[in-house]
Amino acid sequence: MLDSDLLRLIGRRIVGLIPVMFGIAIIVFLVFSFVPGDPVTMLIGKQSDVSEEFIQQLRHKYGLDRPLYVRFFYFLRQLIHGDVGISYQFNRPALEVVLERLPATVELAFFALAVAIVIAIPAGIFAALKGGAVDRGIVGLSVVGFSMPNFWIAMLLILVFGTTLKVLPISGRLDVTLTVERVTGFYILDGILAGDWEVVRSALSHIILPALSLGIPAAALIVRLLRNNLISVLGAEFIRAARARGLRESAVIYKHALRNALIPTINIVALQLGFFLTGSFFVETVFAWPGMGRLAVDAIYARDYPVVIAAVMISALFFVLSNLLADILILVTDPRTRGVR
Amino acid sequence: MTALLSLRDVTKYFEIKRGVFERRVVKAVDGVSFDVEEGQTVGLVGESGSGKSTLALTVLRLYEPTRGQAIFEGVNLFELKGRELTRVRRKMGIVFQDPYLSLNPVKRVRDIVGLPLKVHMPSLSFEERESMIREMLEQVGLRAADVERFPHEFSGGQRQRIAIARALIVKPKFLILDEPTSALDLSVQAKILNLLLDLQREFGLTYLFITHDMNVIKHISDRINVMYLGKLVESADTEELFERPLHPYTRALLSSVPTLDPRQRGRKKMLLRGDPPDPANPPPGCRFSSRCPLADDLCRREEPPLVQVEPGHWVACHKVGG
Amino acid sequence: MSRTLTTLREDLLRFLGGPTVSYMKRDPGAIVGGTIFLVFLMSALFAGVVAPYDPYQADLANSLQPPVGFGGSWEHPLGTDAIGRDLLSRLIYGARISLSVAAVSVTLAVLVGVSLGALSGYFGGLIDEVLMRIVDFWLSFPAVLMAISLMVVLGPGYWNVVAAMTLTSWVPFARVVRGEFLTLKERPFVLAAKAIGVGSAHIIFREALPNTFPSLIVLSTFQLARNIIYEASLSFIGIGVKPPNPSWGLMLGTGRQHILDAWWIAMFPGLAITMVVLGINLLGDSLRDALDPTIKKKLGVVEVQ
Repeated sequence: MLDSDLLRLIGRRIVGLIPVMFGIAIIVFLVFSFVPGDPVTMLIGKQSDVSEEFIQQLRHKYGLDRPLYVRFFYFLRQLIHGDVGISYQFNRPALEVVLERLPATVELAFFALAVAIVIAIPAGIFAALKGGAVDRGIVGLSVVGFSMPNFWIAMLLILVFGTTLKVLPISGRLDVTLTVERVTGFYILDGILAGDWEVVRSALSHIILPALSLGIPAAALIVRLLRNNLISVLGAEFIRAARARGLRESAVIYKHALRNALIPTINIVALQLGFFLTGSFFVETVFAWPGMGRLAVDAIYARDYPVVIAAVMISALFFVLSNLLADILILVTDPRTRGVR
Repeated sequence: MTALLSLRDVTKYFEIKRGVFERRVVKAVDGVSFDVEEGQTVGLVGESGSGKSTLALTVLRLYEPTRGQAIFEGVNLFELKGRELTRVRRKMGIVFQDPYLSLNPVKRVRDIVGLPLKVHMPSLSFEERESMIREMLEQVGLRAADVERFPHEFSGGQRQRIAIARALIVKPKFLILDEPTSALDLSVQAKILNLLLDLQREFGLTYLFITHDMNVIKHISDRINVMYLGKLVESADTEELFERPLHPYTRALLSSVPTLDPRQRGRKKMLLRGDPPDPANPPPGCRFSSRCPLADDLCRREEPPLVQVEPGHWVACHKVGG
Repeated sequence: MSRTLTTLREDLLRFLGGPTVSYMKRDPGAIVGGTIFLVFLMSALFAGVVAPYDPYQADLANSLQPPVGFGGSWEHPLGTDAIGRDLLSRLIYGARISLSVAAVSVTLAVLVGVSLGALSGYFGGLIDEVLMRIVDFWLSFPAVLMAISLMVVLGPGYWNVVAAMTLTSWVPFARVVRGEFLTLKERPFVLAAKAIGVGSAHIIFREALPNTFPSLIVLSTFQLARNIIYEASLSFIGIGVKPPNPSWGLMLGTGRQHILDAWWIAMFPGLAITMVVLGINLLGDSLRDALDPTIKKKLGVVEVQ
């Protein structure tokens, strides 16, 4: 399927991301340059024996006494080197701190996606084929599903599975008694690599509830879309033609209808990935999931702005990349979009 | 006779951007000149994409002209601005092809037909306006009570009557009819054409009638202009054009018309090959050369000028006259 | 100007009147959604009358009272929080914050988005180029992150939340209106108005804008739902509305700390958010179906051919 036209299109889209990321950097810089209290005040903290002269020296050192545009170019130059400043909390480069937490967030996002797909695809097909009360029930549930804030779903799940049934852990990624050698940062993968099934089991049990919290609203969205697509596809001309040719009903549904209904759905699924990576701020907070989102929320409380900036930039990058992935999937799967642009 | 409207070298180019750097020019209307005599109906024919609608919209200043002149009652429309332009708009109107698109779906008939009154006769009281609207509706064959209704409550033919009422309510002199019947059923077409002829007589109107339908044009117009890819290729009085079409394109258009006239039957059929070329990329020389059975090297190299071969009969073709 | 506003209101009412209402009356989703929404709207408007207690009044002697049916009494039907404030009263006052933040921010977003979108779609040119670049950035920048970043900078507070919500929700309106104006301005009825000699302002406000109302109405309801969730989310992580305001998100935030010993503190505000958002989403779905021209046929507004 990957012909040279497609590759060129994808290449053009990737090049197109450069100005987008540049624009995001501008927004982030502008927004955070209006944060009350500059970094020097933060660095010095409560130390009262610091002379005014020393403060001025520090301000000069960080370029804070220069005009905004000079500081912006300084910011950009640092950014190109992957440097958004030093975390006040950890006293290490902020980007390093954020990247350390990234695998936890990515792992959660992929599990949430798996949850969403596993729930949504059978439910969507079922609703479209059964119709009637089953359809209305599933559609109704899906409206409820995306009306719930994900962090509240998280709390409900904690109440039911964590505190009432006591079957699943409600915080962290791993039992505190366990450790695993960090190879990929994805604990489940690391556990498999180390052959430590105890770690794998524990990591899996920890990820279920957070993944459900993120996955349920996404599933609700996908169910509706898939159902609507499937219903309109099933009424389409070519499906009637396939039936008229005497194809078995299951063949009609699975070979023809589902394929065509899934194409537009794939796009939404890929977009969800972007929302998981950025939207896990709240769910991670509830489950004390040591990912990027929770780190960012803690950094907001601690006024550790370099970490906030790094987290925002990384999340935005992931968001943009998953949008790109969604576009590429559409290009690859839907022949109609070829040659149009 | 005097010309109510004289078009001189009317030209409209569109610039199409492709990507950041690439720009292409589409010569939608390219140096068109002809006159519209007062009280006459002048036809403008051509396939879709020939630029006939663009010409109409340019003359009405709905598109900004690239160059040329449109002299209406001695005033160049292309030089008018602001209030002067608004004032002259009162004397001109347009009826569009598709009455499903030309009436605002969220407005009542009262507001649609009354709009020109609000613009050009703002001092009218509500009652005066209302009675003019109702009278106009009756004149186009609708009921006065229809003022309360919305466009979607009417049939295509009725909608076209509303559009005609809107165009005529401020009693203009000149009306551009842009394929006013081609979106309608055949039975309705005749009724609308007859209505237009009646109204022309009653109000002393001058029409510029745009169509691709040679039957309709023969029925309604006094003079015919034929356009191909933005250029005027032939211009003659209706009878002359149907008797003695000179341009191969005109002949092709006419031979697509079924005829009962035995004298015409024997005439060799000329059929158009293929679709018109991309207006953004016309062939060099004569624009018709890519589809013309008579075309030779000269045609493909040099653009033929529009010349008068008989009094009042103009044609642009290397293969004619000479 | 006032005449323009009057006709705009008439145009709007036309869409919301007649066929739309009669369709929605037959749609169980709309009835359920509308009822839920009305209940919350009424509690928000008449919180002072409906709420049994002062939502800010601490009563340490009665702290962490469970709700009725779980060992609590009718004194505090939904129980009390850690400092003995009545949860039901706080929920009722919370509806005020939740709905007003969302309503004000969506209204502002509509004003900003519709004006920019209309200008950009109608006039094109430089303004359109600039707007489209801004929109591109906005879309590649996830709204949650934008809202969080803005709140970090602005600091918590009611009006700051409104500002952040407005800044993150005007883009969809601008996009929709721009897109519709791009096609509307080429529509023959707009050309007809121009040929008559109507000015740009009249064309934008009186001819084109009313045609975008169906999309705007539907989009507004979904943005309203979205902003309710966003306000709660921001307040939940402590960068939204300031305590002691009874924001549902803030209540959920404190509820999280008591999830093991007083589940009701987190349960009811979450339920309230879900209910009101569900109500609005159901209304939005029904409005969309009612205003969709392909479904209009069901309403008996069949084209007379």
